[in-house]
Amino acid sequence: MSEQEQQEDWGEAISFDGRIDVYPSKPLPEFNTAGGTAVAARFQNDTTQPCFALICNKGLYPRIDLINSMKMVDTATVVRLREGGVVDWPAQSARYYTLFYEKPIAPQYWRSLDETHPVMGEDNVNSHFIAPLVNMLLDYQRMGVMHGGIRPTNIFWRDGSATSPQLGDGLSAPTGLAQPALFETIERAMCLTSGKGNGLHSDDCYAFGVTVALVLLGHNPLQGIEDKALLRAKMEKGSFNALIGTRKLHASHIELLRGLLTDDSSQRWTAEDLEQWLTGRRLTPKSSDSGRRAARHFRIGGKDYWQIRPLAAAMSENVKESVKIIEDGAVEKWLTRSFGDGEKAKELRHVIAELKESGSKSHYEDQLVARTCIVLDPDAPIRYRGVAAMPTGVSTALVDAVLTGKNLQILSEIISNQFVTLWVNVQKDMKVDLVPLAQQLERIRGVIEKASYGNGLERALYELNPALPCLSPMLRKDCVIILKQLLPALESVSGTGAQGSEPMDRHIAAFLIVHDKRSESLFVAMGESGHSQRKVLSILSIFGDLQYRYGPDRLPRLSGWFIPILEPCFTRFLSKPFREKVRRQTKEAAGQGNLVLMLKNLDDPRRVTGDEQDFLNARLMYQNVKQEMHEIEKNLKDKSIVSREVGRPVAASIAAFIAIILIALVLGRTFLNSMV
Amino acid sequence: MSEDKAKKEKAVKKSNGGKIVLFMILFGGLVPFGIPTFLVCLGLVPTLIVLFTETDSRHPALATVGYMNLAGVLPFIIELWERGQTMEAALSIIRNPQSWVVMLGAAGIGQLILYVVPSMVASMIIVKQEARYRVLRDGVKQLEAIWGKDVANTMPLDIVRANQKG
Repeated sequence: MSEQEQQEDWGEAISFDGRIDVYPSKPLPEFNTAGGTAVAARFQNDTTQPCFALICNKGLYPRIDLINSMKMVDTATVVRLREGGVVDWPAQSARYYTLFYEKPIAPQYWRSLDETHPVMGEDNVNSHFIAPLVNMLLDYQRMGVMHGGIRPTNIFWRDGSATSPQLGDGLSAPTGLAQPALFETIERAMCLTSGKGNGLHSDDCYAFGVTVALVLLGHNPLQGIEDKALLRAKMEKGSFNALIGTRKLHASHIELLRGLLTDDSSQRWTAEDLEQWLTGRRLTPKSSDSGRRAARHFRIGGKDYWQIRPLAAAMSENVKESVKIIEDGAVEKWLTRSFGDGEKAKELRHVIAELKESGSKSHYEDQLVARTCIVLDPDAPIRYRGVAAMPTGVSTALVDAVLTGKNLQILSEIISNQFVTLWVNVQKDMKVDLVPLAQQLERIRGVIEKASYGNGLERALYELNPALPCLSPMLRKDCVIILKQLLPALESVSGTGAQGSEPMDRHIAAFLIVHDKRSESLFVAMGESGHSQRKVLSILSIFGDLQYRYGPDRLPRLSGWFIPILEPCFTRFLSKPFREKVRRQTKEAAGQGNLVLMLKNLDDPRRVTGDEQDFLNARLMYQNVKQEMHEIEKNLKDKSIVSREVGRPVAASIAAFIAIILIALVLGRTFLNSMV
Repeated sequence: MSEDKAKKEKAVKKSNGGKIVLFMILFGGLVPFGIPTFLVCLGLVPTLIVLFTETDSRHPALATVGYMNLAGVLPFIIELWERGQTMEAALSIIRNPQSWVVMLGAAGIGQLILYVVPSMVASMIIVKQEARYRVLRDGVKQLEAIWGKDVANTMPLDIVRANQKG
């Protein structure tokens, strides 16, 4: 069947941006990821290039901030990203962020981590598998981006093929969310899946190391082991020993894996080290053990611990017991006497004293243990009340918490209790790089503590995740990433029954404040209950401005959404005919979908002050009229007053007039007589 | 206080003295010419009666009756003066009943005017005011229809708007 004929069978296409056709009826499950569902796609101007669209419809938000830079990457070792954007999905009446990739040449290398593959020869593996992927790691290192999804099930390759393996998608979900614990460093494996944070190049190198180990062994030696047990094994034995142990591998591969799987991130090989290894240069061997051991064990939770890292992990799981041993100084003494680390003991003492001085009483025990664990194991994530997150992972963990409703309060406390600042302060390396993060979270702490509209956790979400779509419940079926998309999204949701009584909520307000840099004062009125005039006009003013700047010119449904809540704005006008006129004009403007005109009708200062002035003039007129009516009533009650006050003077005037005429006639006759 | 009293007494003395002089001039002038004229001016008795009986400070009745009375008496005063201001002429005028008909009749017409005109004028004004009242009442209704009941009071605009919402 020709390509054209095949496409005819793919059913109706949805167009993205007039350039790419997406075929929902042609799913490609082999390319599905944790964050998205794959379907066939085709470029309209390049039909020879097979593509697929990864629809991010699983409630996880893709790494949109990296789309533009990843589109520039065109290497043989990475499945090429061609485009990314929001696509209408009529079947679900929704819009999803979609990634458009070129189809990889080879099939998925491992479909499952439980598969068994034939072991390849050393040269074959080095030249056809490791070398190309080292180039991939170099590219990512240069870009300063962590892939976060390096594993055999995300590589497209045929065993032993000379064609370069291609690394699959790493953008459709937050970093590391789909990555099994096996491929994560000890620190990242301790975290919530959503709390691993952006990660570093060394984390990608670690994942590459585990991938190489599985490929070299031909199977997963830790198959069937639960994540907790796996983590414990890594902590106690070291990742290399836990994974490889005494299994037989080529010396060069042993060296490679020791370098990649060392648990000390500062010692771990980078892509440049790998490049050197490929050329045959010998590098300094790395220690693969699990770290220093104390002279004496420390017992907690019924188990004995000889190393700090496992001890800290155990303490975070046994809070009540840990509090006792911390407060009675047992941990400090153990650090000083059995571990010989007086500096850490001093640091611990200082942190405990600081907490006591702060007077913080809320979840004091959990705070104490969390801070102690940070001091004991600075590389580990922040562990508090059952939630573990790296400082860079707090932002994505917060998104997950808002979406699922789980751990929201705990994450809020992690921020409020300044754990990130403490974590940054105890780091020996990369402290300067982490200071901006600590400062940002310090600022976010102030934002979270304010309950007003436009602040709170919602604002923290968008401040920490600038590329996050708006998570308003009204817009969940849409994907509003930039301001320009907000009004069209509200337009399409209005009238569906999914909308609230007003086109504004805390999420939209926070989104606007962060993306439009709006002043918080504009949103103060929106916290008022009901639909006050000030509140409605504030919303209309903001949306009118957005329509003016970004369009579209017609938003009839969104405008119609406002009509039921505009009553307080109409009753602001005191003249009933004028009020009806404003109502009529506003409804006409709403019919045209013109928010700007609606606002002008409702909030023109000249209209408002004119109406007020007319009302005051009407009051004055009313008083004058009433006064005149009162005078008339007096006269009507007693006619004799009129008769006396007006009638008699008139009678006198008439009599005077008649008398003058008569006198003039008499004088005239007398004069004429005298002439004769 | 005693100085004011002395000044008042001095003013009264001066006023009394002036009145005496005026009276003497009038009396002196009236004696040769006044008596005949006086006799004819008896026709102004209706005016004198009204002068003493009217309570209205503006004296419309006095004006009404007085002007007409004067118009009735004047021809006879002219006739008297034409005939030389003699007592005989005055008496012949007074003895003529027609003279009294004219003099008193003119006063009577004045009284008639005083009786009829005020009620006519009052009726006309009442009719006009009733029409005006109706117009004003309609105006009040219109104002209330346009602006609501709060146009009649002096409540602040915020409360007026709150009432309208309610």
